[in-house]
Amino acid sequence: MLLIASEVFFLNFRYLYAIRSLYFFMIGFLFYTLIMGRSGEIYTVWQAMPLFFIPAFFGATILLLAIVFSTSERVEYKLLFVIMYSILSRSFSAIVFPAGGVGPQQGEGLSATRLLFESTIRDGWAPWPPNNILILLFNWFRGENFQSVLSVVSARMLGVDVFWAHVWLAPMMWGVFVPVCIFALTRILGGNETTSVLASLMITAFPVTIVWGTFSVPNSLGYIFFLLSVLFFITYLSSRKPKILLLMAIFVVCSLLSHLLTGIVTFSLLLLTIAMRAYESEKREAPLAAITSLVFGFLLSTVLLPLSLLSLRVIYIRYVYFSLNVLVGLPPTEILSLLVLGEYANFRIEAIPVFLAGPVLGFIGIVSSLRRAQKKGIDRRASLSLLLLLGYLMVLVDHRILKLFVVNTPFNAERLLVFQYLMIAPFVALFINSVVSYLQKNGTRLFRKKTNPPSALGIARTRLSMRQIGVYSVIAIILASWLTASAYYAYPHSSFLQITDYEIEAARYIETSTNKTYIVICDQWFAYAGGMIVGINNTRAFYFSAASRVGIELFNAMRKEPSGDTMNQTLALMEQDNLHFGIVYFVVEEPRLGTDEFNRVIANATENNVNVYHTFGNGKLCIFYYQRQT
Amino acid sequence: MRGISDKTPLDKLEELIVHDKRFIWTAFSYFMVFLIFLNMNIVRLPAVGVAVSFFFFLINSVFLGNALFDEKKPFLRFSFGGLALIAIICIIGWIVLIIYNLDATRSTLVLCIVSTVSSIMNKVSRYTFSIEFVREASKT
Repeated sequence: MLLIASEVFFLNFRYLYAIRSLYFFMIGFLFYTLIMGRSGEIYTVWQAMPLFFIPAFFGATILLLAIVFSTSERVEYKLLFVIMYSILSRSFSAIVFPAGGVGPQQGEGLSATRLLFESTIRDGWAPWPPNNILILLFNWFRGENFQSVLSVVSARMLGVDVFWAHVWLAPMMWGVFVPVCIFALTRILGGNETTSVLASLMITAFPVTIVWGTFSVPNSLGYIFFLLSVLFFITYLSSRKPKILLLMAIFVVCSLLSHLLTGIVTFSLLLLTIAMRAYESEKREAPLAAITSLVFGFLLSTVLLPLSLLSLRVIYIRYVYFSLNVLVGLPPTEILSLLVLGEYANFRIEAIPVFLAGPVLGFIGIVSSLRRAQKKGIDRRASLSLLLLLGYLMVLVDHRILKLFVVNTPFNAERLLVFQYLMIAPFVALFINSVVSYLQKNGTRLFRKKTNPPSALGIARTRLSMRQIGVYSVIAIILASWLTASAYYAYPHSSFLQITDYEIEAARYIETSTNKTYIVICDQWFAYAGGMIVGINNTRAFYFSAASRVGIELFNAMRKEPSGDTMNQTLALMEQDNLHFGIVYFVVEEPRLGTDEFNRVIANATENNVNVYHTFGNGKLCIFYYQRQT
Repeated sequence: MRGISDKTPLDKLEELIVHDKRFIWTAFSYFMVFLIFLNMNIVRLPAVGVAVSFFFFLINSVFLGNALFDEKKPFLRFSFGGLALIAIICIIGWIVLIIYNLDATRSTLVLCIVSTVSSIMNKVSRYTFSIEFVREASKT
C-alpha cells in the first residue's frame, strides 16, 4: 500500500476541499491562458505561452499529486481530476494553433475525413481507383476509414463541423480513456487504488505518449485500442468467461482497423498471450515442453511484424526489404549504442533523463514485480508480469530489427516505443510505491512515525514530524517536476510555421466564391488548409496531395515562371486523366517562400499578366487565377 | 456489500436504465437518435447536439457497461461501457462506409443499429444473470 497516502499532512477534509477548489481554478486558468494564447501565425505552442505558464502547470501538478495521495478523496474523483490534467496536457496544440497540430499526417487525415464527411467519395478512402483487388482490400483496412468513421459520426452527433470533431478526437480519447485503462490495468496487476490512480497520472510522464495524444491520426487511435486489448489479454489469463473472448475480439479488430502497426502488434501480443496461457496450464506437468512452447510463441510473435511488412511487397504498396545498409559505414561503438540504447542515443543530453526515466523505472518495476510475485508464490501476478515483460521485450526486439535491418518501412520504428510505454506505465507507479514502502518499513529516521498518547477514546494517533513532511514534499516535487518536464519536452521548441488563419480563410474564400470546378496549385501547407475545407483529390475542387509528384512539379513550374501558359497546361494535363476544371488558382505565401522569392514571383506574375484573385494576411498570401477562354 | 440506503442517485439511475422496464430506455435512446437526425439535418445547433449526444452516450454506455463489465466498479463500468460503445459505433460505421458511404441518413442508421445492439446485450446479460441466479437458488 502506498503509505504516503496515509501520511500526508493535508488529509483533513477542509484542506482537501481547499486543494480541490484551487486545483479547479488552476486547470481553468491554464485552459484560459491557452485560449488567450491562440494565435493566427505561429511556429510552436511555446511562442504563445506566457512565462508563468510552466510554473502554473507545475503548481497544478503538485495540487493534483496532493489529491491523488490523499486518503479522504474518493477514487472516482481522483480519476476525474487526473482525466482533466490528462486532457489539458494533450490539448496545447489543439487550442493554440488555428488548425490543431497539423503535420503531414493530420493534414492528410483531415482531408480524408472531409471527403467522407461530405460524401464526396464512396466506399471509403482512397479517392483514386485501386489497381487490383489486393489494393482495394488494403484500402478498406486503412486506418483513415476507421478513424474517419469516428470523426464523422461524432461531428454529426454533436452538430459541429468535422474539423472540430477531428482536431479534438485524439486529445479527448487519450485524455479520458488512457488514464482509465491504465488505472484498471494497475488494479489487475495488484496495485491499490491510490497506486493505480498514480499510474494513470504517470502515463503522462512519458513525453511520447503526450505527443501521440495531441494529433488525430489513425495510429493514435490504434494505440488506445491496443491498450484495451492488453487489458483483456491479461484478464483472459485468469478468466474463462466467454465475454472476455468477445471483448478481446472486438478490441483486436478495432486495433487492426485503426492502423496496420497497432493491429499487427496487438495480434502478436495475442499470440504471446495464448502461448502464456498454454505455459501456465502445462508448466507443472511438463515444464520443459511448457517453456519450449512459450519460447516458440515469443519468437513467432516477434517475427510477425517484420514479416508482415515484407508482405506489403506482394500487393506492391511498398518495397520493404531486409538490408545491412543502415549499419554500413557506422563505427562499432555507434552500432553498439544504437543496439543498446536505440533511439535515445540520438537525444539531446538534457532531454535524455526525461525521456529515459519512465522506461528505465518501468523496466525495473516490471522485473522487481515479477521477482516479488515469484518469491511470494503469487502465480497469477507472476504470470501477468511475465506476459507484459515478454511483450516489452518483443516490442524492443522489433524496434531494433526495424530500425537497423529493415529498409523502406511505412512508418518510423520509434512508433513501437509507445507500445512499450503503455505496457510498463503501471509498473512505474508500482515501483515508486514499493520504494516508498521499503523506506518506511526499513525505518530510515525520516519515515518513522511518532505516536501520540491515546486520547480519551483510547485511540493512538500518529503524526508527522516536520522532517517527514519535508521528505514527502520532496517526493511530490520530484514527481511534479518530472511530469511538467515531460509536458515541456513533448511539444517541439522549434518547428515549421503552422497552418495560419489566413491560409484557412483563403481556402474557404476560394471555395465559397467559385461557382465552377477548380484546381489549386500550391505548396503542401496550403494543400493541408485546402484539404481541411474540401478534401484532397476532390474532382470538383482539386488540391493535390502533399506528396503528389505532379502537384510538386506544377507548383515548382509556376513558382519559376508564373504564367497563363503554365496554368493552361495544367488544365490540359488534368484533362488527360479525364478531369475537367474551369479555373486554375495559384497560391503563394511570403512566410513559406521567403520575402525575396515571394516578391520575385509576384513581379514575374505581374509581368506575365497573371490576374490577382485576392490577397490575405495583409498581402502575405496572394491568389492568382486563370480561366480558360471559351 | 452496500445496502439499498447507501445508493447514490447515480447508482439508482444506473439501476433504472439497466432494468429498462418495457424497453422505455431503449425507446428513449431511439428518440435521441431521432433528435440527432433532426439536428444534423434541420436545426444544426451544437448545443442541442451536445445535450442529445450526452443522453445517447449515457444510456448506451450504461447498457454496455452492465452487459460486458458487470463485475467492475460503477465508474469503470461506465467508462468501459463508453469505450465499448465507441468501438461498436466504429465497427458498424466502418462496415456501412465500405458498403456505400456515411452520409447523414446512414450515420443515423448506424446509431440505430448501435442502440439496438446495446439494448439486446443488456437484456441478454440480465437474462443470463437471472438464469444463473435461479439455478444457484434451486441448488441450495
